[in-house]
Amino acid sequence: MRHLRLVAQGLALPLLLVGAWWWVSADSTSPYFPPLREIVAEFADTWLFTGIRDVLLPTLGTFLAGYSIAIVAGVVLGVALAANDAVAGFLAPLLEFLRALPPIALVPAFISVLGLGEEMRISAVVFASIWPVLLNTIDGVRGVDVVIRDSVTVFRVPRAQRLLFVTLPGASPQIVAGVRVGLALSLIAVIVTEMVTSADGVGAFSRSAQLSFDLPAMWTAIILMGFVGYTLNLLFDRLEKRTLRWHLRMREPAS
Amino acid sequence: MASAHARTGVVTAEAAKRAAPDVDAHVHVDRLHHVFGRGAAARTVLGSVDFTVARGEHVSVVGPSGSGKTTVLRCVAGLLTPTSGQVRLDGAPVAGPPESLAVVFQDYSRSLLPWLTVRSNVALPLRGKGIPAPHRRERAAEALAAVGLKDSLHQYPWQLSGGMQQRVAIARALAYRPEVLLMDEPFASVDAQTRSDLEDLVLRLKRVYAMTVIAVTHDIDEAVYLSDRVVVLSGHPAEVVESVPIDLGADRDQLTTKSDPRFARLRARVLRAVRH
Amino acid sequence: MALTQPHRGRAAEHGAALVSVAVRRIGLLVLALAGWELLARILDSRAVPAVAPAFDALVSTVPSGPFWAALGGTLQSWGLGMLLAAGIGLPLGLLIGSSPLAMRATRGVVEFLRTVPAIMLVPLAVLLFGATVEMKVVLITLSAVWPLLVHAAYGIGHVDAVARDSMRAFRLRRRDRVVFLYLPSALPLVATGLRVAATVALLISIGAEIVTSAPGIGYEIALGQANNAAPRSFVYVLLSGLLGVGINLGFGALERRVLFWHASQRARSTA
Repeated sequence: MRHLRLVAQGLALPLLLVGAWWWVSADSTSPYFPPLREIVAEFADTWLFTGIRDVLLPTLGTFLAGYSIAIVAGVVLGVALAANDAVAGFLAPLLEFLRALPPIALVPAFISVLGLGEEMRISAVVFASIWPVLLNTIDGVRGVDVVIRDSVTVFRVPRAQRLLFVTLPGASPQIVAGVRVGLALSLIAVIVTEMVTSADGVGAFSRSAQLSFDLPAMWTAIILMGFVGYTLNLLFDRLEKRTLRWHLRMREPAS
Repeated sequence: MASAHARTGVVTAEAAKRAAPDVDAHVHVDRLHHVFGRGAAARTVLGSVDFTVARGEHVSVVGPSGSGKTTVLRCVAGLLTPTSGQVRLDGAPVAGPPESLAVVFQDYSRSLLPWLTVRSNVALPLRGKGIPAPHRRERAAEALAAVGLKDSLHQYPWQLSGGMQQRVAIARALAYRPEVLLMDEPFASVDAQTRSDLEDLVLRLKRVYAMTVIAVTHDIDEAVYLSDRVVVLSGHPAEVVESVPIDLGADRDQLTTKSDPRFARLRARVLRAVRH
Repeated sequence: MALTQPHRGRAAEHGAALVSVAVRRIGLLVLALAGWELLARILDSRAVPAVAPAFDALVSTVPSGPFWAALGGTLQSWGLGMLLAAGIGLPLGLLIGSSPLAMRATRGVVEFLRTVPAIMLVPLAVLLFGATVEMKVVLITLSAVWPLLVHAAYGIGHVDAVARDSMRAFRLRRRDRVVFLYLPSALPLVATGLRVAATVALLISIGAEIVTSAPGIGYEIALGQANNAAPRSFVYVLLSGLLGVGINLGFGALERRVLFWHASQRARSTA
């Protein structure tokens, strides 16, 4: 019963809002805010399922490629830098600058250098999301409990194992936080590059819908990316919970 | 047969208390019964807790940990509504925090607001009493002087030691001029030396400010040293097992009182009741 | 005398530390410039200028009107968007956060709306408002409002249970409780929300300028690249980075001032 009530409370507002949108827009003649009915019909036409295959998948492919490269490179570089206090301290202002730089600012330069292809887009995504991962990894690794680190050193745990079972799990809460920031940045980067290059992907689709004044199509693209963003965040939450549970289990025998 | 002698003395005192009519009670904890949670997770914390506190009396509530001492205190403070039973203050049932009552919590680092200075912390509760600002500040300064902190008005709580922070919490309660002062394990989070200083502070303050005091503690020495009476709760679910009058007089100090054989006997008696 | 001795020693030590930091900063700058030069030579592209032409562009661009106009264009929309987002997001978040029911009821909608990449709204906003400041302000508001709303909502829920009990026991009036207990308790998370929102706002402002040619730093970046004026474009890239650093430093300083009582700031000042 209690559970049912909670679900009902969670669902009420979304249903109400969608209902209100449907009802208010039903007789809309404004070109900018077409009836929701029309948008839904257009959504089914456009995206199910050829659009998803031909337009969304390339976007997701670029995103995934760039984002995973950024995570791996960010963590590896971060661990390496954290092991080298002097170097990390020396480079810190530069890294802070690169993180503070709005990554989209370099998209035009990326295009000029690498052209309009997939290579450029992936590079732009990597550049957008690597800095939070890298800097959070450095902070996280450095913050791993000194006592744990010392005791592990005393017991002569081999370096590779120490990294895998002590350093990375210990730093994982902060690494995950950086990776989460990177997720949003990657999505923005992939869409901006697609909008600017107008090749393919959801960004280009939305941009060309704008140029041909196809407003329902634009709305469907916005809604689609809402679902995509929401789903990616949900997946991330799941993954985070798992990582942190692992982390908690690791800590239990240690404390 | 010293203990037998002491016991008879206790019994007569108890009888005298019982003979006194209930209307005299300042605080009446009346068959307090409380259950936390519902259904399968339900846990009865208070069975039926029943005791009275006379005006001006200092009563300590002791009992094994987890026996619901704090739950009783929260009911008296009006912060928790018991499942059944009630607390009466001057005969009127407590519903919500009463106006004439102040509380000192165990965790001073959390009960004081870190973004306010010491004086503002002490003066804050007076806002609700409709006292103009200059008077609030004056009263706060007075109360802080009474606890020996007249030089720390403009510091922040986190700049002070634990013992000093608890003094601020006591000053906050004093400035409120309560008729009933509640203390929840007030000295459990400070070191031993600070603790006995604070105990003596409370003894001294009681003489200046006429208040009814109810203190929850797990420290039997402290309970006997400070109180006029010690109420012992049993655990799971809590009931009053014994109510021990502490006839050590008003003038007490750490050395003579604590080495008094009567102190040792009372302490032993409370301890036996707790272990019972 | 004996007292001044160690003091002087510490001052000298402090001075030496400052000098060493300065030396390292300059070293890093030199190294970064060398890296840039190397990169430019390797790429050998018109799009990535070497250090010398970029420096020339810097010297000629900074005193010019368009430079300040671009900076003003970005800052104006950033500031207006932040004001609107804070004006909407903070009160709404505080209200939602103070009711568990409102929290549960709105969670789904908020989670959905905040994950829509704001940049997706650029085409719609351009059609509605054209490539204008209004367009940017709307986009910035729509992207910055979520971190503010969410952080404020969680912040107001972060009131310490003991502090709440003690304020209740002392019968603090509702208004006093809000002012002296609830709002200060929410402040640390609100500050975090502000910092996140400020960063997102800058990103969206520059992104919208690049995509739509609305006036501002992003537009100048794109224009420079399109006109084969890469050195000038890089001056603006640098400017956007400095703005980002400035926002971080500014909001960091604000946090230190407002949250001086918070454990994180206290630890920093004693360290």
